[in-house]
Amino acid sequence: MIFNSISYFLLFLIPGAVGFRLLPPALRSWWIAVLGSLFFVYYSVTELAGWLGAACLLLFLWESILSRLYSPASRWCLVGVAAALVSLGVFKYWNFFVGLATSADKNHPWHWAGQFLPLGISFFTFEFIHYAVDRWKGRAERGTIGEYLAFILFFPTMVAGPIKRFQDFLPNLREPSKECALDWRVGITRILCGLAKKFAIADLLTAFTDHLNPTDVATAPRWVLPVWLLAYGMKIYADFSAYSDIAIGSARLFGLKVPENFDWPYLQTSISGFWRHWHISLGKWLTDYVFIPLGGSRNGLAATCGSLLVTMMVSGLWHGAGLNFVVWGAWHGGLLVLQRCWASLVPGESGPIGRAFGWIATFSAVNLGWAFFCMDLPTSMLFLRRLFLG
Amino acid sequence: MKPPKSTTPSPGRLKRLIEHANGCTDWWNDARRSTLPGWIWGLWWTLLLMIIALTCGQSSKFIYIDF
Amino acid sequence: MERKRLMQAVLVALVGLMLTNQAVLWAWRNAAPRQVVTRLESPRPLKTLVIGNSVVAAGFDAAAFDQARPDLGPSENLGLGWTTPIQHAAILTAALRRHPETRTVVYPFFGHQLGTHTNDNWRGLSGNFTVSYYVAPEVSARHYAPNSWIAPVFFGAASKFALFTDRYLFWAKTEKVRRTISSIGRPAAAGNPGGGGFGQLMQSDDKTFTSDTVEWTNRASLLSPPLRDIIQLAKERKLRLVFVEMPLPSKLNRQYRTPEWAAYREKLAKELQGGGAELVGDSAGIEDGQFKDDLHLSPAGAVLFSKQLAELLR
Repeated sequence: MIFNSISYFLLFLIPGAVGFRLLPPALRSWWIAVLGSLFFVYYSVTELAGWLGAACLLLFLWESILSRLYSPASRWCLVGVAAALVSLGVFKYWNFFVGLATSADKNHPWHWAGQFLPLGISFFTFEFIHYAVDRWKGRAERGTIGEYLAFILFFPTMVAGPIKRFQDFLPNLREPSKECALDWRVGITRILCGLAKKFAIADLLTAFTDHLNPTDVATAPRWVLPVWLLAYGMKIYADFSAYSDIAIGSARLFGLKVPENFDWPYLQTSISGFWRHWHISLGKWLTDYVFIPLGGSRNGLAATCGSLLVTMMVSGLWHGAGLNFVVWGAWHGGLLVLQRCWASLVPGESGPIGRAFGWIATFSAVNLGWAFFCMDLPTSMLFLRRLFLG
Repeated sequence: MKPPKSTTPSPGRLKRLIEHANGCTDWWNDARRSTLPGWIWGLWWTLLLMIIALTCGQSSKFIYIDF
Repeated sequence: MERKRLMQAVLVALVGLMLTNQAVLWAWRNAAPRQVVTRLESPRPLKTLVIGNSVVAAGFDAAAFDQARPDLGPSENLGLGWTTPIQHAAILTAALRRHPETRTVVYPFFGHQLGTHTNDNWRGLSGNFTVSYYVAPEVSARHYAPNSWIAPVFFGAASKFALFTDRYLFWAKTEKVRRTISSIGRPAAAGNPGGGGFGQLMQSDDKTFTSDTVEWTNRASLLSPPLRDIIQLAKERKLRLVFVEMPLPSKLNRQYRTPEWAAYREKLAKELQGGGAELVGDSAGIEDGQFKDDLHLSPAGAVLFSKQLAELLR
């Protein structure tokens, strides 16, 4: 509970946005950096891992110092990428990989009993990696240390994105919008819509999705299983797009624009279309920093399919430290591969009937995939078995 | 003679309206930078606030319904 | 132009919120806490006030009492279910401000209720506890957060917003919708135990009750701070303050037939007498058929009890 708490609005957003507008340009970046640090500490202590989690603010400090050494083709950029991957790996995946290696023995000495996740680690490490890689490639300007701290500590997007790009954020930070009234009208609207979506749709649908557990899945009548799964699909869309709405609206109050994250994903008529409209900032990040480095579409169909599969499995693993997430990623990777192969066999645009079929197939496949996302592997297999075989 | 303007909202127009009401776009009509009057936005915000007030209590205390 | 549009939007939204606030106040004007407020603000003079929780709300019949003791009437039932002595102190304070003519205050209770003191999250009181926000809020602020300067400010501000104080009432509607949704394809979820199971919620088994009674008796004081507040208030205004042990069905009142309870009661009576208050009544005295559940009297039982109470106060 961060974006839907009174403390977020009264302690951080409103003072932050008003202060940003009133301060002279030289102090604005530092204002965001200080506020972002306080935000990180406050919510780490009150919502997550306590003072130990709050101490992870040092990761930002370390990254901001290291970033001063980045330059085009510099090895320090690779050190930065490695450092971000190590932090993510240790905090998020330590017990997962130890569990795989030791058959999930919680008494094993390598098992980290007090494992905790620093606030927003999945997102800020991706921004660290983006900056390091783009500095290495000469695609991003250095910026001052204050500007970089403002980028990584910008609290509206810190917890759950959208994942920003420094080269898009920096010009906006240096010259924020001066249309204050317009920004506040649009920002307030976006925030209120996000909150209404979260409470009235996402939270209400939890009444269905709470039943996606082993006991209820095993005993429920068959007809209700697709209802629960579709409810989950709607709930996760409403929940995450609501979060993005609040983040984007919050940024707008500062006069800053951050990337859009959702664009009618469930109306898409192909799986690749879905991934261009669902969690857009993540999709772009994976394309630029995983898919393309793996070869992208440059090396023929087989290699492209391999890259797609790996990229989507990385996406799955990023979403959660569990085999079910890897399977979910592989499911989507498989769908993308299928689409590529189909497109190579049947090239050209589809007509209205083809698009209608494409929509039904995409919508069904995406929602079936949620079974792996929201339940552990045994329960999701039970669910699918009961759904298709009774 | 010009054909009469269609009064049936097309899916595209409906999508634009929803996006504008959601705050995704600044203007209903980008070319003319047009939008709804302020009091309509006020009514829309009131409706959203009422929805939020009605539903924000979930997964917190729910009490005394059966007593 | 855009600034004007924004100002208009903000103004309309503020007016809309105020109207919504009033609508909530009107829509839930008959909710239990608001009914208590209506009763305590009654224009007729009230000579006897009866305060307490749901056992009082269900168990006191003002008409029967007034008929039996016209010299002590008119009386009024200010009992409110699911409340604590903090709310009772606040309700009594507000009632006495409105009715300086009151001469008698009756406080029926059961078990160790008089010593129990809860310190809930005062920023998020829910249910009937929210009456603390708008009935003599300074009293509740003092008991919930004795050393806080912000609590009285918060309580005072909260009292103006029915959208906040009555939120649990419309949240209950949303919760009903959730439960309906949840039950689709599933058997209805077991609700909170009401009715017959109520007593089991409130009373422990015989052995536990007896050992709790011994523990209470060994304490320095059997009265919580809000109770001492009530006693002090009655003393200052020279009111007759009477604590009444409520009748209970036989299943529960056997716990009150023990030497441990007799010792507790004796100590309680002494402490109350020290503050100028009285202790009367008996947990037996009304047969089981007069109860609607394990704790609360039926309307007929309330009439009977009220007449008995009228006699006890001679």
